[in-house]
Parts: sequence; structure tokens; C-alpha cells
Amino acid sequence: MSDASPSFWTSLSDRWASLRVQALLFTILPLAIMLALAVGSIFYAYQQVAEKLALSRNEELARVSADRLSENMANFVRVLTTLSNLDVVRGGDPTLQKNALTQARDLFIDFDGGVIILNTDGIVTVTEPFRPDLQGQDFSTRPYFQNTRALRSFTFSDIIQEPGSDEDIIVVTVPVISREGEFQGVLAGRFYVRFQRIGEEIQKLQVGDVGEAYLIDRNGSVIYHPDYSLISADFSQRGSVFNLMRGEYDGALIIQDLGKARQVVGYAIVDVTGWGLVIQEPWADVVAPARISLRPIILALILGVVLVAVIVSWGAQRVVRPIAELAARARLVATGNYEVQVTPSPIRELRDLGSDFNRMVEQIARYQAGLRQYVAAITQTQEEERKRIARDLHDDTVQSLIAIGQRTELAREAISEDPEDAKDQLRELRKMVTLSIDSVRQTSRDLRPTVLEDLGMVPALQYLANDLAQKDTVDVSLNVEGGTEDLSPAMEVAVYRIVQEALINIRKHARASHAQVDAQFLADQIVVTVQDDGIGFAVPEDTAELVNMGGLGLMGVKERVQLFGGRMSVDSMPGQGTTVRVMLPRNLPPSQFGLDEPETG
Amino acid sequence: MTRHPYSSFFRGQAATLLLIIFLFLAGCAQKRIAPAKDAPGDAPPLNPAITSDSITLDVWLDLDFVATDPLFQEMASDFERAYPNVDVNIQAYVRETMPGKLRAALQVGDPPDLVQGHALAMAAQGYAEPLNDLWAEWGAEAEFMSQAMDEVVWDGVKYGVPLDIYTLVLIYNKAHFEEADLPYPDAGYTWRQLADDAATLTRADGSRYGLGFTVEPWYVFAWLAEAGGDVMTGDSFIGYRFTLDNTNNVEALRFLTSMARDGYGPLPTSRPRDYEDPRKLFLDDKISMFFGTPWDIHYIQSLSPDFPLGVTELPETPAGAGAASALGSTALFVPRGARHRQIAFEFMKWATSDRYALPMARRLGRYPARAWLQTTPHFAGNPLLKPFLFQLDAARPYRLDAFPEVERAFADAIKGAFYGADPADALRMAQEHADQYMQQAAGVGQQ
Repeated sequence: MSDASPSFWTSLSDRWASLRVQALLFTILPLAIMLALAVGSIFYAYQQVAEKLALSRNEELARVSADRLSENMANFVRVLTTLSNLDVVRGGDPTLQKNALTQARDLFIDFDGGVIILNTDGIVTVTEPFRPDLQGQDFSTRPYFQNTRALRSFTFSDIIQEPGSDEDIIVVTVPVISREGEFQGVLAGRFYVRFQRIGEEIQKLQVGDVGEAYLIDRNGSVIYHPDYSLISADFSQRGSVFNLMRGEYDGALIIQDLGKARQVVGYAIVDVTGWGLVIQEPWADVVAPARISLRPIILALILGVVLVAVIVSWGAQRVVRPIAELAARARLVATGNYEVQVTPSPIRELRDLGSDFNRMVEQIARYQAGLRQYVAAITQTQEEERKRIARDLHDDTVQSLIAIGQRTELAREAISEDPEDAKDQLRELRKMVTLSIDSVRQTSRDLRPTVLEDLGMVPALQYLANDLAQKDTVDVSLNVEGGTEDLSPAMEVAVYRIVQEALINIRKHARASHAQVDAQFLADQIVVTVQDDGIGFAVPEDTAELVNMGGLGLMGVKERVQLFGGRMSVDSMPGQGTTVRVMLPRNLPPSQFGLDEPETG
Repeated sequence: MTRHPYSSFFRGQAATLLLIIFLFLAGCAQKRIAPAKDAPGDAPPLNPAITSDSITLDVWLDLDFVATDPLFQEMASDFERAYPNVDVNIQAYVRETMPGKLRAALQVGDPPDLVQGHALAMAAQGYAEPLNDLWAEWGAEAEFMSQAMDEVVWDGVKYGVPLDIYTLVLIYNKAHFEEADLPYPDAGYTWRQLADDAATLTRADGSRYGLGFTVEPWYVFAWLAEAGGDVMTGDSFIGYRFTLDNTNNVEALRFLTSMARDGYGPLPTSRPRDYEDPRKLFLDDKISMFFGTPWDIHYIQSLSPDFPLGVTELPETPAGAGAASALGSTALFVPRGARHRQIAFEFMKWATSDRYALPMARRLGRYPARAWLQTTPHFAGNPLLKPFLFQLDAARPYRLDAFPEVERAFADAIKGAFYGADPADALRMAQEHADQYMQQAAGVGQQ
């Protein structure tokens, strides 16, 4: 196997999984199967009905044709009867009979084997045309002679062989009865089977137009068949002929001989003769009209399926293409390209999806921009904080330590020279150390809410409120509901910082005279509301915009709230104060956010 | 160049649709019928004078020409393709029944458009349409053998187009002659030798005979003609006279029937078409010789290619005269009152054209009445056909079938002679019947 095989199969699998293929598969395939089943069912039903109709029709056709053939065959009897009723024929004198037949030659021209007269003993006495080979022959044992003599009625023989020539012949006989009613002999008209005169009677019926019609005698031998080579053949084993031979008057059946086409066969007895007429036609001819009419239907179905496939494929393409474009754009966004936009699709849902995508990308872009500013601001704040700490350390702590060092040196020098002075120096040194400790402690307090650790949640919040009131003369009131005993340290810090940031915001921007802090520690959540009566501001639709508006504190609050899975809302209007509301889930496992450790300096 | 994103998609779909439509239309396309097999020549050029009306051309053909081979059906299909407005309806009948059927059709006023048969005889009975004008327009008379042309002319008027030509030859079984230590019959073969060899080849137990016989008048006529006899003389100008009982005829018939009565061959059955019996007996090894036609040679070779077949001219008469034999020919003619005379003549031109002449010879053993027949190496070089071609020149035309009544009397005389009547008496009775017929005919003519 080549290395290409896996990629080939992967490619095939990808194609198979594509929406277009799937759409085609799950629409066209069922449709095609359904249509095929429908056509198959219709055709099967048609075949069933057509079979019955064809059987019925062929049976009727055979019966009617047999009746007509019977009438035609009766004409042969009438001709012979006319001749047999001639007085000279009734008289029984062979010479006169011969002359009479010669004179009436045109009457029995149809008898291609001529006409003969048998006397009462079945001996051939007259032949016309002259047949010296038949003259004097004894046909008394022939069934046609015996039947005619016994029944005094006409008889049609089966195929028999002419003596001498062994030619297959059919003999039609009528009795010759004298005026006194005595049997004088038999007048027999003869047909050579090969000459097909009787076949012409079948051809006259024009049943051959619908297939082939053949005539069989009572022994199942073919008297006439459109295929010359089958004349005189033995058909007794054929189903239709077999049925006729066992006495069935008429009927129809469908046969299929090995290696041959299916045939619809109708058969009936030809009354006058006792022979059987069989009419058969290929089944394909019976259903040919339906096949012809089915052809455009099948074509229409095929075209319909193809048309549906084209439409579905085109429709799938209309759906797939925007989705594929969307996926491609999403991949670009994933790489940090926030300038991409998708083309609006004519399909409403896809158009909405595209619009949402575009808005989402724009929002991400704005958020990213805000985040960058936020990070920059944070970085700047940290830098300033570091500078302030450095300055505090330099201005206070370091200076204090230098002074302590100098004082310590003075004290060391004074210990030996002036112990009292040394004691003063050390007392002074002690004061300086105490002041330094206070200074460092202040710096430390500025870095971390030790008040929270020292006093607890509620006092810490009270401290923040008091601190704002003291520093900015803002009237701050605090209202706390619920217990804070089981709050995690991280949550405590979060609440503290949120309130702290909100109050700092008031101090910096609100120019408020009164602020209200409400902290509700409910069973499942914590709701903190900080409200002021300051100047207010127009709240941007996207909170990321707060950074751009200088609302870095609020942005920090939002980040912290989101970190804890909470929600924040800012309600403000210019001149109407500001309300910041924060809701935090109380029991959210902090480990989810990596906040197991309490915030420390 | 910018491509529309859907362009390749639509091209693919359109190609699929076109393919389906093409396949469907290809399936619907009708199959063309190939021209007749083994067809060397061209069919006649299309005749613009043929009517554009849709018609059915009813054609009656000899069953012997259509029963075993579809050549004429193929030719009819070619004709229909050339003239799409013409539907050719071929009916095939046993030759002997054809005149009676035609007479009946004429009596009811519904004749076919074209019939195969002995045109001369049909014309004599008033069953055929004169075709001189169409012959003159066609101008192809020289392409046919003069003997064949004579077979379509009655009273100087052409009534048909010759289709095939034939004559009688002596067909024998070489193995039988070798078995009997007899030399093969040759061109100098005589009646006496024939009779002697027939006697030698005949077995006493009746299991084999020397010669086969038939009572068919045309076959017997060949025997009589060879002996210098004839059955009728004269022409339309001086009038016709029957000579059934002339001496040559009597002696020839006596010699012939004596061979049968002496047991050198089985008595003919006297049934219609009993001329087929000798061929059957010959194939069954029951007889050693018979007088047969070229199509008998074809038939035997088709059924039994290895048959030890020998062919020679008819034996010479006791007087040593050259072999005469009988000339036979069938033609296509237009029955009197037929509705589509011109189209029927066009069909005759097709049927007798070189395109179908050679296939007719090869597939049916029916040799075209074309002048090139005797010079084409394929035929002239065939040793089995040489006697046939040689005898064509000397073959005598048979016209007795122009007078069915007389022919019937002649036939009865032959039958009677074979079955015990004295040939002289039998032929005299036939002659009397013929004279009586002529007197009646003359009486009718005078009225």
C-alpha cells in the first residue's frame, strides 16, 4: 500500500462527512428508493392486472377466432354436401360420378388434394383430379370413413398419411345418401397439410397480427403454423395443446419454455372440426404499450431525481458555503485576527449567525483593546505604587533608619563620656524606632487589608466607610445583613476589594455628598450595592468601554466579579448618581478559580 | 479570469443531465436494418415517379422461394426502406395452387399487386397486365436471357420480369454406379444406356431402383421434347394446335413408362408435386437416378454436402439427337386490374436486380434469368452446374400450362400411361379432349 492511502481514506471520510454529501445522502437516496419502489410497485401491479387481462383477452380471442374458423371450415362441408346431393353422385355410378366431379371442378378448387368418392365398402371409385394411385384403394378402416358411415354426418380427420406418398393430409368427408335414404358411400375432400390451404383460413382471421396462431388436430399434430418448418410437428406436450387434448373447451395460460420468451397462450376448440386453435403472443408484446408509456415516466422520474439532486446540492451549497466561510473566519479570529468579517448570507438564519459572529469579533476586538489599556493602566498603577513605596521607604523608613543609626552612634559615643546623655539618646532612639515601626506598618497596611484579617468582614467594611468619610467628608452609611462567618478568605477579600474599589471610585469621580453601602450575605449569594448621589455618568453598552472612560476601578470590580462567577451591574445617568450592584455566589468553590490562598501582600 | 464558484458545479450537473438524455435518446433510436446478406450489386436507383401516398403492396410469392430462406423478406425490407411510403405484404403459396387463387381473387375484384409464376401462361389466360410501356421505360431487356424473356411474352406483349430460369438434368448417385461397376453417365449417354443402367442398378428385393419417375407434365415434356416430340405448335398469328398424340410423343412416353412398368423405378404417386418424390427417394438411397432441376442439386448439397452426387445432361434419343430438355422459368407479373402497377414493376426491378440475384442462387439454388449467368465463373466453373447451363440453350419452352384444360388432359394421359393404359390411347384421348377444347374456345371466340 502506498503512503497516499491513509490520506485518501481521510479525504474520502471528510467528503463523506460533508454537509453536502450528507444532505444528498439523506434526501436523494430515500427519494430515489421511494420512487423506485413506487415505480416497481406500479409496474408489478400493472403486470398482475395485465396478466389477467391478457389471459382473458387471449382466451376470448381464441374462442372467437375458433368460432369464426369453425364457420369457415363449415363452408368446406357445404361444398361437399352440395356435390353429394347431386343426383348423379347419389346414383352411385362411378363413371357418372366422375363426370359430375369433373364438371364441378371449380366448386372444390379449395381441396388441393382433390376429391375422391368411396363406395359403401370404403373402396376408392372416383378421383378428381385423376389419381390412378388411389383408384381401388381400400379406405374402409379409416376413421373418417367409419365415422361418416356410422353417423351419416360430416367428419374432419386428423392428420393422416396418404398411402404411397406418405404426405400428410387432412380429409373432410360427407356421406353420399341416395334419395331413398340409403348410404351410398363417402365423398371426401382432401387437403395437403404442406399446401396450407387451411392455414389460409387462419390467416383470414388476422389473429396473427397479435402474435402467432396455429391449428392442431386431435392428436396434437400441427395442421398449420406460420413457421413452415413446424407443420406436422407433434405439439401434444405443449401445455395449451395438452389441455385441449384432454377435453378443455377453451382457456388461456402463460408459458415460458426454456430459453424462450414468455408467451401468453389462448386456446379453444374449433367446433366443426374438433381441432384446436392456439393463439400465442410474446408477453413482451402485451406489456409493450405499458413499457412505451412507462419510458417517459421513468425518464421523468430520473430527471426529477436528478433535478432534486441538483436543487438539493445547490441548496446545500448555499448553506455550506457561508458556514465554511464562517469556520474559516473563526480560525482567523483564533489566530488573533479581529478584523475579519463574514459576507452576509441570503439565508436569514445564516445571515443572523454571520451578523452575530461579526458583532462577537468586534466585541472581542474592543475587549482586547480595553484589556490592553487595563493592563497598561494596572502596570502604570503598580509602577506608581512601587515608586510611592520606594519614596516612602526612602523618605521615611530609610531616613528614620539613618537617623536611628546616627542616634545609635551618638549613644555609643555618649555611653562612655556621658551615660546620662546616652540614656537620653537611647530614649530618643526608642521613639524613633517606634515611629519607624508605625511608618512601616502604615505602608504595609496600605498594601494589604490587615484590617480584614484583624477585625473581620463587617468591621473591615465599616473601616472602609469610615475611611472615606474621614478623608473626603462624604457621608457614608453601611448596612450589613446576614452572617459572614463561613465566608472563605478569598471571598472576604473579594467583597472587601469590591467595596473598596467602589468607594475609591466615589472618592475619585463621583463628587458625591452621600454614599450608601449595602452588603447582604444571603444563604446562596452575596449582594453588595454601593450607591452615591454624585454626578453620575452614561453607562456604556459594553463594560469594556469603562476602561476607556477611566473607569479602571469598575473594570477591576467586573474582572473580580467574573472571576468568582458573579454578575455586576452599573446603573447611572449623568446627574443622577451611580449604583453599582454586585452579586456573587456564596458557596462557589474557590479552588475552581485557583483562589484557595487568601490574598496577601 | 474570474470563475463563478458554482460554475464547475453546474457544469458537472449539466453534463450528467446531458449524458442521461443522450443515453435515453440513444436507447430510443431505431435499429437500422442491414441490407440483404451476400448482396454484391446495387439495387436500382430510386424512382422519383413512385407515388408518395402510403400504400400496401400485396405480393404473392412461390412458397418454395420463401419457406426456407428470408431473402425475399430482406429484399422487401430494403424496398420499404428505399420507399418508406410502401408497405410490402408478402404472402407465400404453393406454386400449383397459385393460378386458382389468382383466378378467385380476380373474380372478386381484389387481386394482389404482384404475383410470381409462369407469366406467359397467366397472360394467355388473361390474368396478367401488359408491361410493354414499363419495360420500354426501363430499357433493361438485354440484361436478361432471351429464353427467359420468351417466357414472359404472349402474343408479342411482355407481361412480366423473369426472376429465375431452370431446366432438367440427369442427377445420379456416383456410389451406386461405382458399386455396380458402371461408368458414370456423360454427355453421350443414351436412352438405351439409361434403361440398361436402370435395370442393372435395380435390386430384385425392391430396396433400390434405377430411376425415379414423376407424372408432372413439365418433367415428362422434357422427355418427349428430347425425343423430338412436342405438345403444341403455332403461334398467336397462325393459331395454336395441340400435338399431344404425335408419334414421337407416344414412343417417348411408351419408353418412359415401360421402364416404370418393367420395375426399374417405383411408380409415381401421381399426387400434386410428385416431382418431389424422386428427390426424396434419391436422398434416401432408394433410387440411383432421376431427372431433376438445379434447385434439386442445391437441395441435396445443402442437406447432405458429402453426397456422391453426379450431374449430366439428359440422355440422347435413340436417333442420336441432341438433348433438348424443357425450359422452365418463373417471373413476376402484375395481375390484371392490380392497383399499384408501377410500384409493383419497381419491386420487380428490385427483386430481379443483381443485388439479390447472386444471393438467390447461393441461398436458394434458384438461378437468375440474367444474361451473365452462363459466363460468370462462379456458375460456369461449377461442374455440377455445367450440364444445366449447357442445356439452357437447347431447352424447349413449355407452354401447355397456358391452356389448363389441355394440360390437365395431358397430365391424365401421363398418369394413365404409367398406371397401365397404352400411351397411344392415353395421348389420343388427351388429344381429343384438347381438340374439343379448341373447338369450344373457337366457338366462344366466334360468338
